[in-house]
Amino acid sequence: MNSRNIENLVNILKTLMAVVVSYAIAAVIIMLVSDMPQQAISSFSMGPFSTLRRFGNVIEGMIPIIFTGIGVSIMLSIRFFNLAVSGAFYMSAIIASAIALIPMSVGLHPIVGIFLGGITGAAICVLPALLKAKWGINEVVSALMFNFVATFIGSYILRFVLFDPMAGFMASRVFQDTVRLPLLIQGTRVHVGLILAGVVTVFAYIFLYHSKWGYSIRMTGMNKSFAIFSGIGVSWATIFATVIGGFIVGVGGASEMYGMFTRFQWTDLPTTGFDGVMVAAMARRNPALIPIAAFFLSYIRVGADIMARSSDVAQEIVAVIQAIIIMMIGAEALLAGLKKRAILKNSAKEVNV
Amino acid sequence: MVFELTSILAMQGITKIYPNGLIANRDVDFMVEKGEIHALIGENGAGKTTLMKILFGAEQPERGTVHLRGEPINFSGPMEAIKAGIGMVYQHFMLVESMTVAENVVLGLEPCKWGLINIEEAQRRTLEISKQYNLNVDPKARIMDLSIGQKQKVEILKVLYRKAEILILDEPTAVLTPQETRELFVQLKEMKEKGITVIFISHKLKEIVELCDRLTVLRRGESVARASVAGITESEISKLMLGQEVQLGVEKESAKPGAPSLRVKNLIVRNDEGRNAVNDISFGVRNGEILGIAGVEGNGQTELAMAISGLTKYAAGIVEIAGKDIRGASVRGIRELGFSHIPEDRMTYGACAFAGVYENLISDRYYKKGYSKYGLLQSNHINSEGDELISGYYIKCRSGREPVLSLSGGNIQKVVVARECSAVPGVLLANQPTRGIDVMAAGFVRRKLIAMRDTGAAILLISADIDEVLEVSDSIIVMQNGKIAAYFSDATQATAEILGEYMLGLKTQTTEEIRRVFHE
Ligand SMILES: Nc1ncnc2c1ncn2[C@@H]1O[C@H](COP(=O)(O)OP(=O)(O)OP(=O)(O)O)[C@@H](O)[C@H]1O
Ligand SMILES: [Mg+2]
Repeated sequence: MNSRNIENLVNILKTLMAVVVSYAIAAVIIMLVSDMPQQAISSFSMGPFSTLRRFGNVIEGMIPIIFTGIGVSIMLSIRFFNLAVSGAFYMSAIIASAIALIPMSVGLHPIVGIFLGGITGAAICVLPALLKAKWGINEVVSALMFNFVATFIGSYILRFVLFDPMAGFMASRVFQDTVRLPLLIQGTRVHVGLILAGVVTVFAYIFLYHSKWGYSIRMTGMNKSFAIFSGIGVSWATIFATVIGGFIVGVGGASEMYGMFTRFQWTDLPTTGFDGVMVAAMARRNPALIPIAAFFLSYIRVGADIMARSSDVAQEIVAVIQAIIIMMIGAEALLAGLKKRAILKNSAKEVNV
Repeated sequence: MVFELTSILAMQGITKIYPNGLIANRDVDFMVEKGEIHALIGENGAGKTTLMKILFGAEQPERGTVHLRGEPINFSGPMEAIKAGIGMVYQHFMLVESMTVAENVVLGLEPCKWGLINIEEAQRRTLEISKQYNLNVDPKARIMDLSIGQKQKVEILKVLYRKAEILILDEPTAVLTPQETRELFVQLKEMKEKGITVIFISHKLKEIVELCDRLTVLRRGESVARASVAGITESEISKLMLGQEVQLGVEKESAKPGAPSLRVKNLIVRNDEGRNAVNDISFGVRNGEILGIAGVEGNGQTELAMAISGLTKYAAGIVEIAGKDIRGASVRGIRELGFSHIPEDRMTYGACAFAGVYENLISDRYYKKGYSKYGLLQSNHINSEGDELISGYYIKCRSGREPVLSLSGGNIQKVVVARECSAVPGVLLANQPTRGIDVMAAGFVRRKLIAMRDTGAAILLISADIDEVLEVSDSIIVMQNGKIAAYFSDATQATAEILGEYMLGLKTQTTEEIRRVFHE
């Protein structure tokens, strides 16, 4: 094995280690707070695999996170920390819902809706980039403002445009049947969005690492002065990255609607946007690793949900585990020693020290 | 190796393996006597910087011992080394860009008053040592506004301020002018008299002979020779370094210049303070000609280079490349006119440290035919061309995928030179092209520039190394205070002394004489 492979391996190990340690800490916490710790821990860790239906829940939960995770990874590759993904995901789901109410032919309907959802996502994610390019406005602040705007516009649309007075609760009218994404696995709600997510993952990987646009995005992200010096249009690259990333987020929002729901009923921003940030960090911006990270996040959520229902431990334990994982992954130094030792052993053979 | 008790510093059996598995030092022995100036020399990538980082506590060796004044030491970080009286000037600067010169100089050892940093005192002390050592920089200037040469001076001031007993200077003269280098040497010799020990790294053999008492040679990570400098010649040193005789000088036929491809007319470039850093200058560089710019660092060369390459705006005047006015053109647009640029600051502009060598070699052309097709990068072509450049320009790296970050300073410079020269430019702006490159590779780069000239390129050479300007250029202009002070249509008519008088502003030519360089 050469040293480069060791480095890759260690990066993966590092993430796994973070997972293991946070699990251990979670177990300790569960033992402290629960009267039936064994029961709680086993339903937390094994529950998601106990029935097809539950495993299906994990997969369903993973799908939207893959989209937002990939979108965020592309934007983070140019060091653009765009929290507007939350608002973008939400707005694209609304636009897709509006499309879902219009009668259309079978094959075309979801395609149109998902495409327009993507456009919506791109339009929202590009705004902070434009503001930054034009007036140097900090993207974190402007993105948070856009999220508020998206929330209120969204609930306005829900209340006054899509609202179904017959529903008896705050929800849109029922979608047309033609828009529904086909089921993939019987006995679960896993839908065709999973395949779409796989396609998007492959696309994003090739885009970032093997296309000229991805190259300009990564170089700008790693050294902006160098990119400018080389003639790369850095403002353009930033805008491009946010458009592509935002489009993917929007596709995620729309396909979530068509795969999982028959009405739109979100009155607030779902956490899916922030989940994307979290998995992008776990996967170190590498699209190829996003599905794994998204699977994991969804798995601990489903596990926590099962645990909350079958024991006396509250679901909030998930938040604790998430926080610990992020911290562990952030602590780059954690496994530096391990990595070094493995590489040294490898090189030591060469020198005979 | 016998252990010499008298040595102030003894590093023995040092082996250093980098995290990527590269063995940078292999059983190296390095002894320095108190009060000597000791040269550490070797080719690019020989392991000099690595050895010094180990001494300074910035890297940990896998094996070996270090004795300081006879005591074994084991620094876990630079702070401990500084406390033990060791100071190091890094090859790639370690300055806080957004802070001022004075703040950088006193960083970590700030003069305080009632628990607050006393800025005036810091500025006063900085000014004092800069006066004392003749390293003139404005204590109030921000680092990011300084040229490379000025940053180098700040780095040196920083260690002088810390009153080190052992001074490590990693290529401090790479961007200094001969005058500044001479001043520095006077100071270093004076410090030596006071018992301060200096470890000096340089690729300029002349400086080694002039300044140092003894030398240690590293080759491919091993210490291969130790010698006294007295009575040794430059070619003997290079033989020790490379294990073979090399041709040091460059030979060239006289130029056959054509029409100017780069023209600058009444150019005015303002710096951040609104001063005219380039003050109404006009010149032309003809095809098949190398025009050298001599001048003391900070006389407008940096601003001129930035303006020509489209990286900063200019206030007035015209810049024409291949007959096209570049006002308003993008950097890419300018490059597509056949313009290439070796920048003076390789770590900021020249290279992307975290990207691989291959990726660094295509930054100006990745979107072109052959490099991408239907938007996809053609990695077969990119990698095979990259491999050709790596071997053709003697870039020492483990593979083209290795991040530039882990290359030695000189090898990073070669990556930049390889990219810019392989673009086959019609106009090449070469700013400190051989900065930090070893003698053999520097000769190679200079011959390369001449070969490009012979095939018709117009080359504008800016260099703090006056010998390089004299050796490579066909004609020379001297920049002084933002203006052209002299033009020598035949570089062989100029000498370092003659140029020096114009550079320092003691003399200027008449407007008629200077106007000839516009080539109307
Ligand atoms: N951080 C690093 N990681 C991996 N390899 C490194 C790192 N730094 C240096 N190297 C490698 O170690 C070797 C020695 O590098 P070093 O910087 O010590 O050379 P040097 O003698 O100072 O050369 P130069 O004259 O070019 O500055 C080189 O082959 C370089 O590629
Ligand atoms: Mg070095």
